[in-house]
Amino acid sequence: MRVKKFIILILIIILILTSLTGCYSAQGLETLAYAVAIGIDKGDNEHLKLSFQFAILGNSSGSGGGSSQSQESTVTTVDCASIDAGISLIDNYISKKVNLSHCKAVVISEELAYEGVSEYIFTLVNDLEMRPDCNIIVSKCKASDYLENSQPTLESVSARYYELTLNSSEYTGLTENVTLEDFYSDMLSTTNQPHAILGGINTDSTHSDDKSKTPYDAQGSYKAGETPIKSETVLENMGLAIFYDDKLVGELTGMEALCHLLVVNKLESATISVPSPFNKDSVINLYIASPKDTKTSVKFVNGTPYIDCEVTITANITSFDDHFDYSNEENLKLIEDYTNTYLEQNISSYLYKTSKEYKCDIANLGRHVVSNYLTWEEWIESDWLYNYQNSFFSVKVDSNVKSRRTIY
Amino acid sequence: MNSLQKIGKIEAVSLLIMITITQIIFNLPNTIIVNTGSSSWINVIYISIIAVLFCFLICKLFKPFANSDIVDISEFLGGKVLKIIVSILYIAFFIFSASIILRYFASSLKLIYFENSPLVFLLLLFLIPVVIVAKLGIKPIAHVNLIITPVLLLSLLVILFSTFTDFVPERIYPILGFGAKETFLIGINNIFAFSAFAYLYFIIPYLKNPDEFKKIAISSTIISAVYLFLSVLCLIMVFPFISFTEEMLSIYLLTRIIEFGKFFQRVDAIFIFIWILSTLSFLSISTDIIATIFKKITKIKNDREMVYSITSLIFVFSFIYNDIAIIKYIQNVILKYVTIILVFIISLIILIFANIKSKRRNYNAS
Repeated sequence: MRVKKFIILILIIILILTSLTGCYSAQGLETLAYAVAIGIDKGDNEHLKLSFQFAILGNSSGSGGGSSQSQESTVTTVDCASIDAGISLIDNYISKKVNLSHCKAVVISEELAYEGVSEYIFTLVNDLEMRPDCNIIVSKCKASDYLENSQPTLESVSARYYELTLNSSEYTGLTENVTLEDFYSDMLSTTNQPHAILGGINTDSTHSDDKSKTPYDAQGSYKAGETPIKSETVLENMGLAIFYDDKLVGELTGMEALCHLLVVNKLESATISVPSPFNKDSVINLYIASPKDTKTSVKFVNGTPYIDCEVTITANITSFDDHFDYSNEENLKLIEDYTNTYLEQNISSYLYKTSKEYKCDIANLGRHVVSNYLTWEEWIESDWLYNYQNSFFSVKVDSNVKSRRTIY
Repeated sequence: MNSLQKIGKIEAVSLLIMITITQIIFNLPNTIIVNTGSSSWINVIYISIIAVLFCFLICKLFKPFANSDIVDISEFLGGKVLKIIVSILYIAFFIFSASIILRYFASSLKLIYFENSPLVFLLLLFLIPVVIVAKLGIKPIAHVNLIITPVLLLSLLVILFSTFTDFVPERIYPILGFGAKETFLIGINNIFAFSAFAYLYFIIPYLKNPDEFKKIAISSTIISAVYLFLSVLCLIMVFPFISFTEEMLSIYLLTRIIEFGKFFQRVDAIFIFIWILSTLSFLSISTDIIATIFKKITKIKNDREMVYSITSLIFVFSFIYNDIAIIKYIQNVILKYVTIILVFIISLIILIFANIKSKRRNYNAS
């Protein structure tokens, strides 16, 4: 009996000791440097210039709940041969281990993206610390400048700043929340090409100086950095960057990004301005949402893809005018017709731009074609990604416009 | 094995399901997808039908041998020589399978969470509980397994349904994947996914009521087939690259993209915890069955003392594989054909000839 008790005691001690072994190689906040964003540029001396925006951790016993990150962040840049080599150099320099588990954004400079990004994407995807929901941004400026200019004014924590900023597409529709997983999947897909968020620094010198823009064009026809805004926050994400395989080939404006979201059924809500049927110099603002999925079909006429898109939206009029009765059915029908024509033109323009100008199917229209083929060999031989440039489009928008005037 | 230890119908079904589900977690769907591409879901339906028919056949062939497992039947057919050969083959198979699962999960855990911990430590962390549980016999294993299996089944359903928003249904096309030959002719090799039949051959002596063997076999095969189908379909519809890349833990990839709204993110650790329990259960079941077979060929009195040697063998075997790439190769190539040859061909031949012998003996007696 005594021997049994002794064995049990030994077992308990071993179990307790084993549970404490984690302390041996424990890694805590003080030994890790949390990167909230990574910037990848073409190097000056080496192959790459890698920038990390690190969160500076504050005193967690300080001002109550929430994150322990302070308001500040710091950017460290290194010239290196590869991402892993860069991380190693920075580890050595800051004497802390770089940790990517809280990385919210990977910013790639436009200059580097034109040369191809697959090497960096594969490296990042294979890093278990990187989360698949980390966003991919192509910056019109240098990636290091992008990170250095991230000065959140309405949000104190830089990691949350990236999260909130990039989620704004849910209610603006002027860009898409493209993640590392999306980009990687699209890069390896045979039905579509990848795209990324387009970002840039917004200053007076980068503002669009196109005077020919009509009032309804103005809202969404900017790319990142071009919107005439004056603010302490200098970063702007608007539009999309389009890739052929892993190389950047072009950019889309905010309005084109909205059309893209409508075609791929990802638009949650947005506010658009359509030309007023009652006054040619003014616009009507509509709060739109997509209640039904866009119906897309692809037919082949003499080997040429003929793509048919039927978009359904609901729209609420948010702008009001004393001179017109927006609850009048005839007026609403007129606004509906204008809205349909306006969106049809914009969506057609977006689709033709991707097809004829960039030759990239970023809306994954190839998925409607793949069912026509029986085997993988036949599908690959059909070369959809090449054939997409021969496509013709027919777009039909069915809007249901309602007046929002209910209170006064 | 303590001959008094018997298990009920539900316990037996959950033991057999646990075997397949553990293999689903450890990349079984990816192996099938890499072989057959976008037609994997058709291939799984096809092999599932074959597995169910095979299961009916096995039940029919086991019927004349009440309360006997494949080792007893081998003895009946070919005497002690065949009994020893079959026993050694199955012991080697179970040790081989258990060591692969153990090393695969320990290496994956090391890569994901315990980068700085020695592999030996992680392997021992799994084997020590297995030694303790296997010493107690099949009944405690089955009871604990009865708690783990529903959690595991539910967690897998949560994974599959949580990734629903990422589904692109058109990814199941081209419908014949790499071709009709690859889907139906070469694809029949994917029957190895039902390697739980190896455990099924040994379950009868454990049953309180051996008459329920047919129900147990059919229901566990069907449930396993449904889960295999859902896993394969889900992976194809979520990841367009899955047919061409050899992932380490494909189901783990799914857990990484799960988000419950904006608040609950990064829930993969919960699933890893559940998989640790399932691995422990898998290893315990394998150890117990190996001990039982060993007792049959050596006739030792206390087979429970053999648990130390068996777990030590599993531990040592798990060091044969240098890295995950080698484990994947062994799992996809060697273990696959070993399973087909041993479980689906040799065992079936033994059962058929034993039935013929049994019928002749009955005929001569009458």
